[in-house]
Amino acid sequence: MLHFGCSGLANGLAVLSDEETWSDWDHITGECFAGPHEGRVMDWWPVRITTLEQARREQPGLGVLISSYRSVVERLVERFAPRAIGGEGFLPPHFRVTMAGRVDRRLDGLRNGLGVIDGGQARFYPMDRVPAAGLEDRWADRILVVRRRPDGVPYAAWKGGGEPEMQLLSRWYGFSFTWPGCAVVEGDESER
Amino acid sequence: MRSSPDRSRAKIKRRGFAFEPFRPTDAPLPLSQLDADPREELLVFERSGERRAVVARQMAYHHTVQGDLAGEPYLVSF
Repeated sequence: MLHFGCSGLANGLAVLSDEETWSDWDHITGECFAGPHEGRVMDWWPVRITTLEQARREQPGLGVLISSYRSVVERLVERFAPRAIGGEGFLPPHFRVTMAGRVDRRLDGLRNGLGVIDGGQARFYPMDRVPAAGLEDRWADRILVVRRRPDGVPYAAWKGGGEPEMQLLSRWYGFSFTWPGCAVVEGDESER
Repeated sequence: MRSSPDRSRAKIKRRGFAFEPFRPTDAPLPLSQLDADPREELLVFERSGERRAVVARQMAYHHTVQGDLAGEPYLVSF
């Protein structure tokens, strides 16, 4: 069993390392990109972000893991951490120096959206362009329906049932660095 | 096509973590007992039908939470 933690930044995104070998792992894809475990890929599955209010409505029996760790840095980060759902966000200067190049200019780097990955394909749905009624987007022979939950977070499901391989709420800069050239879907139009 | 990070621009510690990882040992707190703003953001994850949540603001520091759930290992990153 490997034990992980955050050891730095690449492309403005957290890099994970395992303390057994200090190999470096991409925290979004689960792929080891440097070190003795290079090439290994962890199994992945989506994590849902929601509000306490929504969780109380939907999952009242949910258990919450609470960290008791305290430090000056921890207090500062907790105090100033931007909201993930709809928050404007900010990019500290030291994040930018770790980027391999310029952020894809099709969108503002801090634009929030739903990134969807399935069958090797990746698409980004800016959150503010998902209509209240949802949108439909054709993926080869299937239709993906993107809607908003009551907490405002967009989520995707196939029209015939089932969900895509991976979906995550992400800032544009992180998603576009990880999946360069991905399609951007705004409203009912696809921009490829 | 996904792209791997460019290590030449990365800022990565050769050994040691930049933030203390979260490896829970205490029993989870029932949601009903969480005294927080209703807008407090939670990350909810599932293994074999069993769910847990962590507070997103705490994960903004820790970046990872790792443990076992329903007999299966998990690693959540943020």
